[in-house]
Amino acid sequence: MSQSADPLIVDPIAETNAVISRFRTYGRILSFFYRKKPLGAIGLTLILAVCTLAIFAPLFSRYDPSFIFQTDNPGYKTNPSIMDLAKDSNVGSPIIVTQLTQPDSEHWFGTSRAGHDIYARIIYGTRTSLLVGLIASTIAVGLGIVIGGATGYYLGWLDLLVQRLIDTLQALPSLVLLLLIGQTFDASLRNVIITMGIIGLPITSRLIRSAVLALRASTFVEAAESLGATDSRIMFRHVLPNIGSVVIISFTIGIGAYILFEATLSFLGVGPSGVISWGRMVNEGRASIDIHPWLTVWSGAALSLTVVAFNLFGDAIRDVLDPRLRGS
Amino acid sequence: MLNYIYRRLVLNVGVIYLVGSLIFVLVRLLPGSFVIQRGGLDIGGLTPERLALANAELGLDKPIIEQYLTYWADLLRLDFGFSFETRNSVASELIDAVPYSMELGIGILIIGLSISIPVGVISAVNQDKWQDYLLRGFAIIALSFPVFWTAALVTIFNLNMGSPLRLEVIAQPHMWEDPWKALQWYIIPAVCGGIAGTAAIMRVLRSELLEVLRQDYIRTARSKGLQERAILLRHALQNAFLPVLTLIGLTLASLITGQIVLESMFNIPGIGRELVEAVALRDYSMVQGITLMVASFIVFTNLLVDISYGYLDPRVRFA
Amino acid sequence: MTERNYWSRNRISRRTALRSASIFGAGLAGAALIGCGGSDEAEDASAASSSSSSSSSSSSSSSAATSAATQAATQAATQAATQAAQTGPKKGGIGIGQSATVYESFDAHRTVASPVLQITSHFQNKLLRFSSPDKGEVVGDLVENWEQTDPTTLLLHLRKGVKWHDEGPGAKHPKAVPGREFTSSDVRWNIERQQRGTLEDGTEASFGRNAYWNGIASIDTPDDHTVQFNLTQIDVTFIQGLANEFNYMNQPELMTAVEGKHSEIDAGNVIGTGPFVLTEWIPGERVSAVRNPSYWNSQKPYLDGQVWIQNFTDPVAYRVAFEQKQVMGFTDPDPTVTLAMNADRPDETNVRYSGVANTVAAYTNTNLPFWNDNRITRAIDMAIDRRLIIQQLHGGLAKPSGPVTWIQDAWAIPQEDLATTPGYQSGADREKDLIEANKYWQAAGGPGQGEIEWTIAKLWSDRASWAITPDLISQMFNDAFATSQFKGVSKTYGEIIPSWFAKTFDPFFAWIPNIEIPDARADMKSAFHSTSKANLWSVNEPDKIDTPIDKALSEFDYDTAYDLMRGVQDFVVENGQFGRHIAYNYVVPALSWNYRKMTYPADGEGWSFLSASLWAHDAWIDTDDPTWEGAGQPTPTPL
Repeated sequence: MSQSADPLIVDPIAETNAVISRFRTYGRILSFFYRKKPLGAIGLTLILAVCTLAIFAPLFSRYDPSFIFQTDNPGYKTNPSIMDLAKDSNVGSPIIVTQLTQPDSEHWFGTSRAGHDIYARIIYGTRTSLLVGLIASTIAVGLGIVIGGATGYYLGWLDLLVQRLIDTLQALPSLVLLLLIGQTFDASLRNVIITMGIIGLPITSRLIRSAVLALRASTFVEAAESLGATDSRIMFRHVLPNIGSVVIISFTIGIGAYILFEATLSFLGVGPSGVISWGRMVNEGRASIDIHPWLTVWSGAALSLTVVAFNLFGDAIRDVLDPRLRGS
Repeated sequence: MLNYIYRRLVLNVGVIYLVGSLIFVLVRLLPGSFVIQRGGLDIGGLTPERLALANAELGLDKPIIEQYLTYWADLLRLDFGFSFETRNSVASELIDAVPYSMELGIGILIIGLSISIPVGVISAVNQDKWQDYLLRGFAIIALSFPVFWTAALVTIFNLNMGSPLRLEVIAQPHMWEDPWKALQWYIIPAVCGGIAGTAAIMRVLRSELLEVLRQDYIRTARSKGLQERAILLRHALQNAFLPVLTLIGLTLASLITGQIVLESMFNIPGIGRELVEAVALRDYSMVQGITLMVASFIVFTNLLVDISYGYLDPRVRFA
Repeated sequence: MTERNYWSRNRISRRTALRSASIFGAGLAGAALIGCGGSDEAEDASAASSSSSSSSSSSSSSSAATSAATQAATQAATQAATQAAQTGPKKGGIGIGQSATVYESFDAHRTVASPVLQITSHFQNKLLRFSSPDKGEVVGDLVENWEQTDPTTLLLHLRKGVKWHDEGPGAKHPKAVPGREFTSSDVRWNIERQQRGTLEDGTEASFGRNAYWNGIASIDTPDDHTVQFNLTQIDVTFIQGLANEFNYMNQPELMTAVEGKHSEIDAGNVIGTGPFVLTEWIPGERVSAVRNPSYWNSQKPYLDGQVWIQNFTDPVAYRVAFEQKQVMGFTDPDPTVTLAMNADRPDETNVRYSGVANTVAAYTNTNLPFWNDNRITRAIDMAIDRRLIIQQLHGGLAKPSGPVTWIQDAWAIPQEDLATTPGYQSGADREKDLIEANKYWQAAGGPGQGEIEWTIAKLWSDRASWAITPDLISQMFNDAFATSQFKGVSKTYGEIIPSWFAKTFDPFFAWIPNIEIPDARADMKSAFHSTSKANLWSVNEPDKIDTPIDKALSEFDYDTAYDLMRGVQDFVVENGQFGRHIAYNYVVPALSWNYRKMTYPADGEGWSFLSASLWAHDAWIDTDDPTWEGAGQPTPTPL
């Protein structure tokens, strides 16, 4: 964190403003970023693309993601025997659901077991994934700021107590917590997101606490204190603005991890229900990945691409914001 | 130094107490109970009398406070209770399961480190060059796939290619019993888990190395005319390795925790799978026992890592 | 009248079969000994295969118009049977299979989940068993032969020299009496226990299959090897009830000591007279059994032992384990997976289709307010899109079922009639149904009910191929009623079943356990008769249901009995099945390596759960088959 030799001369706020003014226009930030961090730029482009898909999903998806494609069956027999069914499993059905069809011009990514258009579901799945990643990360970081900020600033018994609670949370294997919470409350999207946010809390609150701790020890905070500034003034004017980079880094890096985490929950059967989830799509077809690959390949690719995007972007952001990593 | 260790020990004991209490409450919040989960299937249902009887057998009829006190009294005597399901002591169940998790965990760690250390070093030395981008790209991609998906992919294609790698269902050999068979069994999960774990270690190592390489003593070493290779190995890597050690400690802990996903996919009867089953069955003492063991492992690993800091890095002083 | 292959014999032949099973048929009194004492016709392979081939040939000969395809199938079956007769079942080898982890009790009389019967059938015997569950033919097991001395009196003559196991963990239980001879008082204890529905100490533990036994006035034991059943009225299904796959014989001494701990799954808690001795039973892990060295039938079993692995449920693990020959069989909810695997190894594996237990229903709880509104019950019944779910979840391998499933097709409402029944239709007819369903739904205040959780058994939705079921079911109802009130959730049986028997359950979608014997009259009694404990919907229709069922149960003439049961079914359907909305019955293809052998009824057709007792006796391993090479052989825990 920025420290200055002479606290009475350098105003950290002014310094921060000066830094920001260097990037006054977004265009300049972007062009700087794209030139200096090509991997991060790829990530950012992908993220923007995914966000566009999520926002304008109906424009891109061609079909309603829960529409069940079906046709009448001209060869329908009222009462086939089991061995008739064995020869032609559709013979006993007046309707045939367009299921497990390979990708073609009608269904770009093929159809699922249930007769859904996989392409449409992948497009709508971006919404779930982004929602999970963004909100869970917001919760983790938001709570992290409150808890990490308060404990790092006030220290003392509050810090001791809260840190032990955080230790406790961290010592519990995260999947255990998720299994327990996922089975105690119903696995709605909201509950899953909140749980994931809480699981991320130890890491974010630690990071923010140590950043605040470093600032607390810095001379300009000392100076502000000696000038008689109130706690809240120091907190909001001096400390919080200076932990921005830590916050941004943990926020972006977290998103990818939460999206991936949601997929693992689907594997364990406690993923969110009632929503279109890439994780569940991946899980549904993984045992037959060689038989009907389109069930998992597209969803797996979409999931991984999104996570890659956030990870690339997060890494680049860290490179930019973390002074230790600023290269030459 | 000793003071620091004492203090940390006391704090750790506090944390373990909190973990134990939290898990005690959390398992009891789960809907249903072992008796309902098992005996509730009895056609005709559980009459209140039978439910009470069965609960009494498991000691679940006592007031919650009494259960809680008994639980801690037993724990102080290192008695983890018995598994509701198998009626064996939780300790003996853990003794059966831990070696499997450890074998897998060590496999993952070996593969993870043998990839991440060279990758981290190369990409730090060549910061922002194509090698850096390539390797970091690889690490980030490896981090971005759900492990259950990559493992399924690898397993099924491995199967279709007729390779000798196996999944052991009938007999589940330990490494020391039948190394060849065990290796055939563990290799896929270890590789999948190892690659997925690579990225985190590689990232930390890279950023630490970058910082160390800018330090004055490296500049001094360079100006002395030392070879880059020697600088890297003798000076930089040694110093950059400390934070990596923390991470390895944490990873190790999570490996002993059991790789829930890999264990259930590859039929490895380790801690992770035991835990999922115990949660599903509301086998309270098993969930409590496993969680406490894992939590203790995590906090004490952290302590060990921190202490080893003091020995490895004279700059670190314990307050 | 057109279907002539084994599975879908026309009604006449099926009816004949059922009639022959009904021992209380008037003309059969003289020939009461159809149990063919002693040498059960399935005892040795040649007999078994000849019976199998004769049954297929008789069904084909009774038909004038046999299609080429079915003829081929029959030929193949005969060929396979001849082959089996030539090589003959061999003794030896260890069976290994995967098994679901839903063993909630070791007590077959009280279990609701059928998988445990796989285990029970190996170490215990029944009095009678089905030699062909589909035809309802029964043969003696512990009973050597039986006779009917008057219309309400049945004498069972027990096999002599049958002994309870004298080795194994169960025999070592301090309360067990190992090596004791199996006697008529054992039979009496077992039947009275199920009839009474309480444990020895009088604790209510309602045994859910009491409907099979509540027509017994008394049981006498004139001597150690004779049991006399005195019935209150003629019950044509009684013999089949004795062969009911849940009616295993427990040792009274041991069961009395351990029945209070029925959920303590442990080999040390069980003893039997069966072909195998259970040596280890680690719940959720592994079960192993070895041949009973002193089994009364020296020919059986063929296998030296049997091991079930319970602890891998992952679909990838299961698939790999099968392909690496670590287990002998494989099945997936998605038939296309099983079939594709068979297509990869057409010469090494074989596929068989079996059903029977796979009856699926949507339940609503007519004991609760809102759901007890007949309009809601009917609206739900009509809104269930049976045709769609069959396609989505089973790839078409199913047929809709009325209150009696089509598997019991001698009793079921014919598919032709179902096709025009509201709730079973498709296309424009379904649209009309939905308009009516919506009228009921609106009139009964459905939209004001708020969120409706529709429970799906976790055992179902945990299977990756079926994970989407909660969403599909809720979407189905939401589309039907143009609402978004329905929400699918999955819950474990542990949560569902207690509420089920407490009659407080939420609506749910799951398998139905009521299919127990081929004669559907007893099943219908179990489900809808006001005296049955399994009547969870508290249906109480003495005139429309109880009386006709009672009449049908004592009716010798099939046509009269069918008309009575059809009347009951039509009434049930008109009332939206009273909340027990049976939807359909599906069949699943099961894949086996060729070395795994069993005498099957016909080519492509497999036995299933009503025949668990057949597996224990008749499964064998063909070590001459080329696929035997490299097959994994586990070591069962020894005695």
